[in-house]
Amino acid sequence: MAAGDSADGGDTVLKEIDGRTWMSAGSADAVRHDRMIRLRAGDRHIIVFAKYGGFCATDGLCTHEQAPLIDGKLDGDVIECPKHNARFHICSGEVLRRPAREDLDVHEVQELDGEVYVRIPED
Amino acid sequence: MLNPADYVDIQKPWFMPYLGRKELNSFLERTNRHALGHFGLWLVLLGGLGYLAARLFLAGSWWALPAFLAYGIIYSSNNARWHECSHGTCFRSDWLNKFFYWLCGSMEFRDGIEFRWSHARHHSYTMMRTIDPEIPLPRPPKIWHYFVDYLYLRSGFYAVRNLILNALGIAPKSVRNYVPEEEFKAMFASARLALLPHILVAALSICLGSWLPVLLYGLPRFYGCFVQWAFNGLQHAGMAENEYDHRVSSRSFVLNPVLSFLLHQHGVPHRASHVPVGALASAAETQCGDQGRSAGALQRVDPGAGRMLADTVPAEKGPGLHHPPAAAVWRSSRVPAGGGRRFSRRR
Repeated sequence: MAAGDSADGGDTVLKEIDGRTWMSAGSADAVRHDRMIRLRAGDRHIIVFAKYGGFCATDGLCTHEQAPLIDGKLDGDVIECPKHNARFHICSGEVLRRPAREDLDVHEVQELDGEVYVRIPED
Repeated sequence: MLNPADYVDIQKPWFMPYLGRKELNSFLERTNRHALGHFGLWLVLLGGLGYLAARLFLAGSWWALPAFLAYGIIYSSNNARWHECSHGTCFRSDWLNKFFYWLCGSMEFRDGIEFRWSHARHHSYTMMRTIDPEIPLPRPPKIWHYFVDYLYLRSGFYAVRNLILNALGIAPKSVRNYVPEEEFKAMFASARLALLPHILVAALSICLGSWLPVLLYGLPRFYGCFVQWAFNGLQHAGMAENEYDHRVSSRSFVLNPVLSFLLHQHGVPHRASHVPVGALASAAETQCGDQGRSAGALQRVDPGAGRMLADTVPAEKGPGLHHPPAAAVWRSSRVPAGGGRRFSRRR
């Protein structure tokens, strides 16, 4: 285990699973309660969404002008950017509404022993 | 396409008010009920006043004039509804947002795709010279531009011109500045859809040999927009240019219930464009409230109206900052240091 960056400046727990590095998003119950939670891996912003008892993770900045989606409106499977109201599907990252034209990158996510882990992007 | 990075520092962070997630969420709830009530009343007023004006017009009565005037004022409040629908915040159901976005846009000769991109640019670079395509009264001001728009003559000319050109598949140079080329095809189709009702109404007028159809659809935007324009101008005119802080470049104001039916808050959409129309007033109050931590530019309309032109008049010809005196005083006295948070765009 090692420590990395979290969005709020605290330490984030990293874990090796099957030879790959995953980052903890906290307890599954906490993510379910908040419905979405923000992480930071280096310069990369990631959001973990709770959905249908499972979880999804995408990049956390709008592909239009990089506004933080954590401040956006989550409605069902759709997250709406607070800046220009672009919309994305929270699991596929697909753009559903302009002005964004590029999909969000999606990240692998899994629940292990009551904790949610997101695979850290290699770049 | 115009590249904003050639003109301003796009990395520079904008001021963002601090709002806790719980507090923010309380403003984000959307329902169809509130918007349907608003739009329902609006459509009933339009239908009723339109019927009355038409009856008086056909009877040859001079009372048709005030009836058309009232109809035109209600008709021109399409602008606020169109703006909210463009953000997708009016209705919870997106198809209702899309339908009224098309209808209200067509009523003032605008297509949805062009405005979406123009407005996205306006939100990203509010009151930034050369970049923001929606500065109502750029400095140095040409006051006659402002006054002729009380009859939608200047903005209307460009709206009609752009709509016709877009419908013909020709993107005007100004539009190319902010609409990406990949969107042109959709923009041309959208412009044809917005122009279609006007063609049908004009054809009906010709067939009937009567002005009545165009007096009810299209022309009301010209003869009835003065109330809407009197307050729309307030949203940005006279405010600071080239500033990364919507509190000094945008103005929200308190209106009575009748006027607030015709218009809407404006400072809040600039700071959080996903707040729906029903929550704008309370969001503005929260951001401006006596907590003093995230004051918004909430001002009563009377001093704002008086200051607007006076603030705009000092002609500053070079690029750079301009703080209107009122905004500067307000800013220093009301906004505490570190009272908000900032985010920057990454490129």
